[in-house]
Amino acid sequence: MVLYPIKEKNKNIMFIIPPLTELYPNSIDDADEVDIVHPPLGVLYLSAYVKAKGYKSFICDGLIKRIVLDEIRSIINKNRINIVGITSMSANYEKALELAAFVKNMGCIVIIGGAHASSAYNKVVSSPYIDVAIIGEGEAPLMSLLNAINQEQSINNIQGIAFKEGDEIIFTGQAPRIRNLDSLPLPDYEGIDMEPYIALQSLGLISSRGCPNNCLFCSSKNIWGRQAIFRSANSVIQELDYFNEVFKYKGKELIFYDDNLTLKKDRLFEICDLMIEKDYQYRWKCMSRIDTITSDMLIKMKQAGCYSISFGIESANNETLARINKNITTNDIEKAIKICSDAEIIFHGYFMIGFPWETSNNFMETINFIRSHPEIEASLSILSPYPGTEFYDNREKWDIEIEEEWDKFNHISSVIKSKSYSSSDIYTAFSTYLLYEERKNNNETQK
Amino acid sequence: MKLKSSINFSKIENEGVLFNTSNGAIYSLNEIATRIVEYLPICNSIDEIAEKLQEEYDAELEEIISDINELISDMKEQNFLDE
Repeated sequence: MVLYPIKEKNKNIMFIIPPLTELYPNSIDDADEVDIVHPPLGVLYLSAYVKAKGYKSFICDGLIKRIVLDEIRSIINKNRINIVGITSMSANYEKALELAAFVKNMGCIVIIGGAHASSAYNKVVSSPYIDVAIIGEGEAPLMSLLNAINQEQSINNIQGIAFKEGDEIIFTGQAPRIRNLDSLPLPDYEGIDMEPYIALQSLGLISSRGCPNNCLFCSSKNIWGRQAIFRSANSVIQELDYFNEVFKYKGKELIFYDDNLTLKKDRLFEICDLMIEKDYQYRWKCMSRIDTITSDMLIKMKQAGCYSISFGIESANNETLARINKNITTNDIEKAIKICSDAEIIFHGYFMIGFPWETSNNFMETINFIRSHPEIEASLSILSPYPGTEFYDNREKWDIEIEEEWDKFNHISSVIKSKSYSSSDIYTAFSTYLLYEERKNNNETQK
Repeated sequence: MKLKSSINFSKIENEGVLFNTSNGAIYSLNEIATRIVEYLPICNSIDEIAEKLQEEYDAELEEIISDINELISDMKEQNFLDE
């Protein structure tokens, strides 16, 4: 298939990041109401990549600024843009689709990427507003697409994409992963207004891509496969230097977005040593798995400024932990809480309820675990059965029905109909947890 | 009058809690408000709710109706109710 631009060929591209549903802030003014917003690093990586290859990129960042369609129209017309890339997760896919319709009606070629497109490409490319979906890591497929479009060549041989040709949906196969992440340019921080993010102290970086584990509910493997690939410590420090020098970010808050920062111990020690040597004084947090931390590691991380580690815990029920391939037990969780406590690092656990076999009692088991550990921070969510995960793909096996309203894939809505629990059961349990958190926070504020 | 489908009402240790599944917000209700919300789906009018509450609490009917109207007005403002 060949995609023909309707305007004269040029090297301009627009990226649009839709807002993250009504749950999330649409502007800096709302940012503290729900959760902190972070720079859209996925798109910033793509933008930097295409710029390095001679393209000019225009980014519309809907995370921090309300999207105004007239502004998009004006940028597209003024710069004769033929190609628009839109990123989306499941929860904001409906908004992505609205934006896709808008730019498609302006004659643009629409490329969509991100977690939802990677996992649900069949449905995504069936939309009349989307020409191509990028599956997984985006840099190489996007670049190949841009070149093919500008040279009016077939896109059928580009790996890592899906599209509809006639009545047939074509997936060209996974593109090979980028082995040398150090070869990528730094994210295009000049492409968006970074001031709001700096003011929020919500900067962060990705020092590795992917996770080797196979948790049944997780869609990371749909994007990255089951392989983690790492940047070198020096490459990470180069980005931290940039924050320090360009954003005057010394001593501020930082987050590592890696699925698991502690996966490769020697590299982590190297990063920490360099952070200490550089004296950035960042206060930072990261994500990890409890089976990859050690006492000496956390002591080193603490010295380098780490104050909180988030772990995917999911459940306080050993049977559930085994069934979701978590490969940890409640004993392991207790040990990890102790290791964090000894290192004076906050243990932050992500917990989840709503697995197909769970009952109200199982929900309360997990919530009671949280309540019995007031020393930890916890975030409880309701299972969203993302496309491409076991529960979505094999719903008959798990005897569940799924309500496919994408904006409800937001971890506070129950979209699963299970024979083990009702929506009232799960919302009552979830309310119990929220009430506990609210009162805990109120008590801490009063102290 | 009934709660919107996106609003879940539950009783947690005798305390009424409304959970807005659209935005994750919770609202805990006092004892009277909890009873009012419990009566919403089974009573046909504010007067009927008020009469039921008067049987349970030693209060003037007008005072009870005023409390109900205040709660319903708050809940309408929060977009919790289907008319």
